[in-house]
Amino acid sequence: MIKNFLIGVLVIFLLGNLCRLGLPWWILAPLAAIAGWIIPKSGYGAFLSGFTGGFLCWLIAAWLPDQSNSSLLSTKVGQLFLGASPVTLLLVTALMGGLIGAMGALTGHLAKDALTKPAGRRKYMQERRRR
Amino acid sequence: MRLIKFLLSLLVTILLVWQLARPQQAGDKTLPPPGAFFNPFSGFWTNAESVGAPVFHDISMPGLKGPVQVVYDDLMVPHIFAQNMEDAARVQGYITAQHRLWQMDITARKASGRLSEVLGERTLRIDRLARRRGMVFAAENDLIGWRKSPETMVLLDAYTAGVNAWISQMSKADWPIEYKLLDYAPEPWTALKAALVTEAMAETLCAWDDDLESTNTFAQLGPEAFEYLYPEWNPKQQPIIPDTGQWKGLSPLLPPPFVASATNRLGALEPVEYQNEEHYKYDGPIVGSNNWAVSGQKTRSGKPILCNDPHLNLTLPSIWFQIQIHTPQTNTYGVSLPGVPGVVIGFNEHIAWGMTNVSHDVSDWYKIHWINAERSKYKLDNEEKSVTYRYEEIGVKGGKTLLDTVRYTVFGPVTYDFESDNPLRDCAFRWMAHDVPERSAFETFLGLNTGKNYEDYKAALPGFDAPAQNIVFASRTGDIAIQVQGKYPVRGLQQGRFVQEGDRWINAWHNYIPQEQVPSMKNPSRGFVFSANQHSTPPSYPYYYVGNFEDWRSRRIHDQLAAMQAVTPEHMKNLQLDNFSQRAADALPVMLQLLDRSQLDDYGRQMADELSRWNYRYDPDALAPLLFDVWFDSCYEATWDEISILEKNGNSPLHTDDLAAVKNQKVAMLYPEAWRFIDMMQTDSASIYFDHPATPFRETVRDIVLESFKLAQQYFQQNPEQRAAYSQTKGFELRHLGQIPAFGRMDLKIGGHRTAPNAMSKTNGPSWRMIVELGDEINALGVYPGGQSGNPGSMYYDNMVNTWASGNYYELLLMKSPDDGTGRVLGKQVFKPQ
Repeated sequence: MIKNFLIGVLVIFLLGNLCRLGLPWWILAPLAAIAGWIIPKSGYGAFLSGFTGGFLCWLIAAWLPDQSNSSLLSTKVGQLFLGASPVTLLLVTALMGGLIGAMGALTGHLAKDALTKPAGRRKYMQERRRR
Repeated sequence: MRLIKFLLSLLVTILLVWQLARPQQAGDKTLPPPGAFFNPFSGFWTNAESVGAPVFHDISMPGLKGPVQVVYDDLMVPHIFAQNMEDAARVQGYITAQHRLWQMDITARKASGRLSEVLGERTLRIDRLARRRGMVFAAENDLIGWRKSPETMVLLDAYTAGVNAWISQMSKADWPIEYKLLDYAPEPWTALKAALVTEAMAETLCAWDDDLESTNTFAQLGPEAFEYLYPEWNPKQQPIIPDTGQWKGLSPLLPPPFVASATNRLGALEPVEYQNEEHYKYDGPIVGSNNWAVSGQKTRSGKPILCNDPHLNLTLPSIWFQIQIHTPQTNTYGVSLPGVPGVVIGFNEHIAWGMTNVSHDVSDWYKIHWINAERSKYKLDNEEKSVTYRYEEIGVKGGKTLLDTVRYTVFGPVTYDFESDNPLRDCAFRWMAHDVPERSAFETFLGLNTGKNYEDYKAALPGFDAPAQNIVFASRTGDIAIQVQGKYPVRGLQQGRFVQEGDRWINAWHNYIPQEQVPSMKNPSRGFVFSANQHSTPPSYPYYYVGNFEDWRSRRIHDQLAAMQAVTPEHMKNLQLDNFSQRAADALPVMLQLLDRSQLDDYGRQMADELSRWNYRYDPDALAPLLFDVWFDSCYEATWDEISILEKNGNSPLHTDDLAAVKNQKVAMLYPEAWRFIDMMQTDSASIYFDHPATPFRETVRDIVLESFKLAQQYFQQNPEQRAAYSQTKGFELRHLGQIPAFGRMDLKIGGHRTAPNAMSKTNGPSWRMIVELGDEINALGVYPGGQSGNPGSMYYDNMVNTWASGNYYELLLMKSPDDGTGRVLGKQVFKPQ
């Protein structure tokens, strides 16, 4: 379970970094969906690993340049957003990545459930008819 | 059930992404789409540049003829070493775009009336006015003129291609942050945009006039009062080019003088209260500059020194970009204008040059006499003329494209006919910068950039039409010179001062002052040449011209230079940073003498003592400057109450019947110049203008001086926080070009005043301070309030601001080879031909 979660986080984190190649930011959602399809066993697991992967992916990608910039820019940008501090901006960024990752992974997981396994009620009705 | 769960989750995901991809409204502010703006891969985080040592990569570039080496010094100034001027221009374009792309875009956009495409409805009037003033028309005409010189057009094309080489390799992560904030995409650069950048400068420098104000004032006061209050020549003036007999025997044929009829009307009066605002109305042009050259006979080193500090609206990113261009033809250093190739103000190994604005009025208004209701035909002498139409399409973000039709007459566009309540509604705009230039401006700049001596300088200037510039010069061989370079209409007396009748062709501009009679001067015996936007010549110059001329800096600079001996660059710094106001020195002794101290209480006497101790310097820590400003302004306003009343309740000959019906229509009025006002206080104390028409008494200047002193005192007693050091109350703002407050610098506490050589006002001031000593080795100093980078996320965005604010300079590095510049080199890169 834990192992699956960690693999999910890692895969989504790595896939999210594909954006460095110039892919648009929202590509994180379909990429997380692929990971959600393949890896986790439960919806909760998909959501949590998607959130954590997306969160860390965006947090680290924003934190590194902010560090080497001594928060020069984030201090100025924060003033445009109600005086938010650089840390707040980092958290907002990470939260966005987390939410996109989470929803993407959950959707991927549920898609697998819905499209590959026969639906529960239909299966039950089929079995009853056979009896 | 599973399907529903999946679909629900899919829907939430799509909604989330869709919401993050939409611009957000926060109150009246529109925020960029959060997903695109915050994502760390192409959003604003990628604009956070490392504050560590920068890394430079070699670049392979199409179109280059040979390799180009670029060395960056510790101020991030690129030193370009190319094998020809074309390659240098190409690389200059690339590097400038890399640092200043958004600035270039927004400047060209503003000039071409395309702001609304990215900013929406709120800039629609600005855009319409830009189109209707014929800015694009002017830029198109520039290109026609520039194409006459294929050899400089090659440089402009190479520069443009260099800009586009940067743009085309750029990923979204590299976009300047302003694109991300305003949510629009960069687009290719063009030669037309370069022309728009130069027209934007022309608009700043020579698209102003007082025609409407003068017309109204003349009509309401009558010719005698007008002549008394608004003399054109200040006898204390130190013109740029003194009369040395050079105009003797010159009697050009001038058009007949302007004639106007007028009625004299004065209104009733209301009390005037002091408002702490900046007053531009009586102190000459807002933008202005100083330049001078001192010959070797007056310097300690025996070599000439040239100085320039152009005063402009100060913004971040800075208006200027420093650059060195080294080719076999030249080795030039100076400031360039982002968007156009070459150096505008600078020096090379042989000469130095600088610019100040020539304050001649080269924009006139002509009242058109329409023949039909559609305003498609108008009267000109005995003929019926048809307007031509120019169709303008103005894109509006989030709104409908506005289609606008602009009428063009023989004089120029009818700018304001879209505003029924505008007094200039039926007037056509004649502007020098509309005309096809006789010669490419780049020929002038190329000539200066590559010039070696006085002859090269003289040959470079002719054909430089607009914006007219006082171009100062010094050479290593010891020559100094100045020329009032521009294209000026030959005017009849008073012509161009007022709105003119557009129904007679004789009022048009027919001839221009011949180039050889444009005022100029070389190696005068006094040992210096200078300009500070003052009168070009004394009245003995045989051509009539009208303008808005500076009265204070020029006199101070003249007096200081005349008194100096054994001049060093240190003296020049002190003069550029001089906070001494000639206006205060002229006015304050007169006012203090007229002030009846016996009428003052303790607070008032203390104020008067403070003022009488003042050395007329607007120094940062001085207390007296604001006391004086408030007193002087109150005094001025109390005196000219007649005029402000006419402004509120008067009549304009340009107000037609339906305009007169518009309630609260303010009548634009001209206020007397400050020097005239001070003159009147001193010599005409009983003038009726010191009298308040509303009171039964007959006030004299003494009453006005006392009354205004008490108003000033009241102001300070009610606002005690204003009795503080000048720099604390002055409110200097170095604003971001896009008015994004967080990207500006509002924290600077500095001195200076627009009537002092260090001409600081709230948002304008010395945009580039340069001092060049032309010895065997060039010794050059310079600084501007900004940084080489246009990126607010770079430490090179505003790294020179504090140095500038504290009155310090950088040594400018004129490198002889790429291996020069020891100790100050940040890094190198090579541009290789592809």
